[in-house]
Amino acid sequence: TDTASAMSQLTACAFLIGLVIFTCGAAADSDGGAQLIGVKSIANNLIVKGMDVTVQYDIYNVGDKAAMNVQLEEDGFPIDYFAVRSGFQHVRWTRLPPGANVSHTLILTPLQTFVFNASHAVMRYKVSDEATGSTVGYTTSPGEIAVIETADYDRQFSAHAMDWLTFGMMTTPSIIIPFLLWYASVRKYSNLASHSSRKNN
Amino acid sequence: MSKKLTSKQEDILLQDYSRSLSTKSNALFYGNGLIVSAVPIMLFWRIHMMDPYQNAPLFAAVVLGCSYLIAFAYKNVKFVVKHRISQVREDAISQELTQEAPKGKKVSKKERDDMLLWRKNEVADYEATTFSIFFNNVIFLLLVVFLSFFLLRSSSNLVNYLLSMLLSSGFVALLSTGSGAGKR
Repeated sequence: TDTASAMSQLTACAFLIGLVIFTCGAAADSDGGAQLIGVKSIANNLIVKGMDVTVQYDIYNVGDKAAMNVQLEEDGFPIDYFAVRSGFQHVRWTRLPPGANVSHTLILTPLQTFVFNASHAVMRYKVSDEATGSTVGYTTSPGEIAVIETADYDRQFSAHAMDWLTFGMMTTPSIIIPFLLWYASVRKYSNLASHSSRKNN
Repeated sequence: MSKKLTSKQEDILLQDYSRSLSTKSNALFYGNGLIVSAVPIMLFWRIHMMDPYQNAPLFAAVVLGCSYLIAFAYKNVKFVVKHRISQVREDAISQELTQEAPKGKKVSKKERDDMLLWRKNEVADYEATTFSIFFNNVIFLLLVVFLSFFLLRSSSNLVNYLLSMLLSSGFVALLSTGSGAGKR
């Protein structure tokens, strides 16, 4: 019974301590500070090898204070697989006021045909002017994307106007020449026949 | 009493009612068949993105098969159309011969009949050949485009090419054996 009562007292103390910690934590949150939400999205419906891919980053400050020294770090596109056409993979904003948002666009060109897992980018920022250390956040992840061959894309979407024109020109001799020869003979003998019937009448 | 035909008239009639073709006609038909069968390769290469070097054996085999079927169709359609044309053109050809006959020179009836028969056969042969080639080429090419780009659009390239080419040439060959084509 001594042991049991000691155990129950220990449990009660632990619970109280936990409650105090939780309360302090909640109090700390309610003091304010910047809180950033990052959205990473790919604007393209189809990702095609050799064609531009637009990656859009939107960062929103939903906190009470301005986020300071906001850094966006994108290391998820290896140079063996993607070439950067426009934009930066490491971007910095000095200050992001509360309720404000910033956007950044990165344009890449896939160099190979493969299935790629587009994961999150990293955001580092200070929650306030007074904060000493940086807070790390992550953007959303677009997920798995498939880079298709240019040939498959062209097959589906290209107008192929020149190809159809070339095909038309190639089929013309096989169709037009026999038709013209046949029609010339038909016309000649039809005229002769009509001339003959007019003469008889 | 039946009228006895001259050997020349017999030859013309035999030629007229025979399905067999001269070497020149055969060469014309198979040559045209080869060309018209090969033209769709350009579509499959440029639009369906079939590599011509990788698929060369397939292309060669299908082109040869389709050429045979199309040449078969040419022969059948020519045979049917030739008889109709020779009936229709008789008056016009007779008129033409009258115009061409040298003035003052008397032509015997037998010679004139021979000339008429020969010219009728020649004109009917020419018109039937050109019409047959034109008609079968149009049907074949339209069918290839329709099958390849509408019906078989979602199939793989290999299946698309095989089916569109063979079905088109097969249909053209079958159509040529239709009413009147098989009758003498």
